[in-house]
Amino acid sequence: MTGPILQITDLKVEFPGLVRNVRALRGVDLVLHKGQIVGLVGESGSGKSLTALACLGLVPNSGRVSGSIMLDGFEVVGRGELELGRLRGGVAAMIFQNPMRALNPFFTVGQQMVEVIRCHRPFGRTEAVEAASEGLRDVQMPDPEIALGKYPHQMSGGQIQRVMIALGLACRPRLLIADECTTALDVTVQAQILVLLRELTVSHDLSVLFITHDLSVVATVCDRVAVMYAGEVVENGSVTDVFADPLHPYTRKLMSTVPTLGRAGGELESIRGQVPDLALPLTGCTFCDRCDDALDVCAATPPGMRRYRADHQAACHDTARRMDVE
Amino acid sequence: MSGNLSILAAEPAKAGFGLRARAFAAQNKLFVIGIVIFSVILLASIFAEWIVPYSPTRIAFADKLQPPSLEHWMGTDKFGRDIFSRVLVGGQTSMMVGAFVTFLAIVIGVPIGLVSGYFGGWIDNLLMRFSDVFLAFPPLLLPISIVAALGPGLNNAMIALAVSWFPWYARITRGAVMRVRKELYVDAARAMGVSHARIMIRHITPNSLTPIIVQGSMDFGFTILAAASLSFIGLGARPPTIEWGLMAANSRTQFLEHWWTALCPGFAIFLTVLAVNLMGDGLRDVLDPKHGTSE
Amino acid sequence: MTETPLLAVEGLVKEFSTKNGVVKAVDDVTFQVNKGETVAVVGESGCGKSTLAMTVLGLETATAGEIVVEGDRLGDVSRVVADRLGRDVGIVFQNPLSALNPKMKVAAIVGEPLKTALGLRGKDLHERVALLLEEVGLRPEHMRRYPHEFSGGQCQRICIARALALKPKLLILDEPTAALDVSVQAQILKLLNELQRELGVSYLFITHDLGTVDYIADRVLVMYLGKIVENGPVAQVFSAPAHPYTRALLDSVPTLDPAQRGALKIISGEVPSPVNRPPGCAFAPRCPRAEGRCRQEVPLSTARDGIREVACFHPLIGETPDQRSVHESENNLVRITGDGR
Repeated sequence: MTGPILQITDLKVEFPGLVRNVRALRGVDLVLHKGQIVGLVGESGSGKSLTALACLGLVPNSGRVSGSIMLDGFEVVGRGELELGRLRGGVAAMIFQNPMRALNPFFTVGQQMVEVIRCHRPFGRTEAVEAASEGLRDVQMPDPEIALGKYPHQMSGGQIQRVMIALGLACRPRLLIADECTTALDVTVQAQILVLLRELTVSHDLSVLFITHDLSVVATVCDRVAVMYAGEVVENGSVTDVFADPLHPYTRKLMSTVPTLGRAGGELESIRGQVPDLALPLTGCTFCDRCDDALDVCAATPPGMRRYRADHQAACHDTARRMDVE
Repeated sequence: MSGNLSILAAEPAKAGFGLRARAFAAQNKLFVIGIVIFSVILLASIFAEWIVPYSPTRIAFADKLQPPSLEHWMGTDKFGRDIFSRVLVGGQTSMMVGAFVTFLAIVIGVPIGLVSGYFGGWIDNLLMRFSDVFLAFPPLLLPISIVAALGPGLNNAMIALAVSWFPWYARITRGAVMRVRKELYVDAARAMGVSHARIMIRHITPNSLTPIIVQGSMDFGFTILAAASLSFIGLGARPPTIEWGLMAANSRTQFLEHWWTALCPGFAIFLTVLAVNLMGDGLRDVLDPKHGTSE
Repeated sequence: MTETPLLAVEGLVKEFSTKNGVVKAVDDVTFQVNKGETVAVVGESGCGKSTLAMTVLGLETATAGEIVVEGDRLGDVSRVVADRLGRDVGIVFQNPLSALNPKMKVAAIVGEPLKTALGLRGKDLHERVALLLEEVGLRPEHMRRYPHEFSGGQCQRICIARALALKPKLLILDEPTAALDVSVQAQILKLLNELQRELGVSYLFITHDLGTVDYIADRVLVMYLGKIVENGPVAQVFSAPAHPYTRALLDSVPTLDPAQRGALKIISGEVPSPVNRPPGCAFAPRCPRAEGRCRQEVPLSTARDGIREVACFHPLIGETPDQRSVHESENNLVRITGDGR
């Protein structure tokens, strides 16, 4: 397969209801090539987690999905559970935010790992235990054999997250989707996991879709980044380009509202107002109400995505105006 | 720049009341069915005197033991009295019993559970062991014993039932209070130096009501059933009080050939308890904050 | 500085008995907060910073040690003391929505301390509440609403308004922005700064986020497994950390600058469980500079020139760069460089 590992085209997800019709994703486009770590950044309500769920066909039943998601050449949208079952774990795997909740407190880590492994691969018990052990070694778990015999509550958040990564990799998927997987961890543990993920992209030939709200994590570990707001991608490009010269006002604001080390008392900006209600029909640009650079046209017409550099696109009228002039 | 930005999230144009009511009904079918049936029974009981086709005490030996017909929807009993009219009027007694017993049990049980759950420790132990004494009796044996001691009669039966019922409310309340006690806003209140009494009344109680309301609505039906049982064995309502259990008791000798004399009041009991149970189940879903709606 | 500190904590210890033994969540902690300053307490899970906040506030009873508020020693938290603490010390919690009674209107929530402590009623109460709400950026008409009608950031503003109702001298904030969206965090931090300028209130700011500390705090306490390992002005501690753990923390924080991607250093291992406290210095098992003495004796806090303190036998400052690189090259430090490809 020489095509991209993940290609999302015009993904729309709607939650119809008698009283409210929530359009959670409004046409998401995203491409991820082999061996890349792509960051998907946004705040709550931006739709980043939903995009990830959609990639594996995990959108709740009440949601209506349209558009196209090509996972290593296979179309995900519209597939049945049986076919999706083969994709999940085999082609793409997902790890979530709160590792403590992901395992059953009743069984040991080893028992749960063996169960999952045997679901996907034709191993006998001993082979599966071997595979589990090896999986834990791959994720740099200290004392893997001892870890297998522990119960989830005896392990720390960081260790369980490693277990989840090991489980995710058990079937050698090509894509790992990590949904806020370090948010609930201590900062030193987060650093370990980030380094681990980077190493795994090389050792396991893995591509990663890294979902987070934390821009600095993206800057540290990702090659490319897509910024989401109110159900759409507003900017995407290589991390170097986007961070050096953010083209969308929301991206610029995001960077300047986060208190980071070394800012040395520089003033923090804030974004006025709030994320719009996704049940409302939004005309024009979704960010326009909160934007300092809004033009008249912004309220009426939604800006389309335009390419400004080889690997840098943004959807903004003001940027278009500025860049055309220059 | 357009868009009038208020500091609160913009609200979608409020759907009309009719639309929201229909959405609510679609999501909570059980609750609505229960409420409808119960309302009909309640209204029928309240307005019984005006809607009865015959006087419930009108004796007419000529018409005795008639099966259900167009003139007598539920037939007549051994004195020729119209059973349907008696069932309607008997509803008043049953409603009153249900309301009174449940109310009394709540008024006794909830404060016990509140104090017990909030303070814990030896107070909790003391109060719960005290309640356990009442819980240790097999069902109905305790009310029977109390009524036997006090003497038969509907009022004594109601008191006996309330006294046997309160421990459940104490336990339910205690459980809810122990959960709410750990909430962050209770910590915040303690940090501000708010007194225990105020915390219990202002913060804990309003947030612990859901299980009590749900249980209370279901108990409404169960107490009616219990009172009917007591009347059936002669310890509850006595003639001339009209009460469903008593009606069933009085038909004991003849109901094998004249099934309607027992089945009709029995059906009234069944319908009431069913309606109230549906309401209670549905109420639990409605009041549960995690209830997913289409909102 | 001969002025009495606003808050002086001396040798504070808080123990919990668990089924695995006695756990010292706060282990012999000593520090001060002066008038009008913001002291941040940072650390990772298990360091005891939240327990410290609860104990200072009086929600937990200290096992040992002293809490002195403006020169008045507070003994066992009795009724009188609870009153005193309730007025002089306010608290803002981490989860704003959970900290508000869902069945009470905002007016009642913010007005509660005014009612119970000052006995305000009616019009007086109404006016004070309106003022407080305006001070935190809300409007008087919000008084009539319930908490669930507000967003996370607004709920936190309500909590701040409630905490400031009795004009406390010290506000303890336990991770106040952790549960909020990124764009809202900035709003709240700016509000806190503003309020401090206007009201002169001091902050004891508990957080795990070093960027926030850099922005809002004057001094920082770094905690590890119940002890303070370093204490000093933020600018100095962050630019030249004395304790190896502080150094490791700073090195683990990802920055926005992609050019610095190679600079994410990690240390191995994780914070040990408080039940299995290692002998000697708690950080020794993970410390690249640890030697024999570190594993046997517990280092005490030593003051350096009266402004900074550090509890370490081999602190990082006062060392030549050569000595530092010798220490760093030994085990435990891993660099990721550039693209890895």
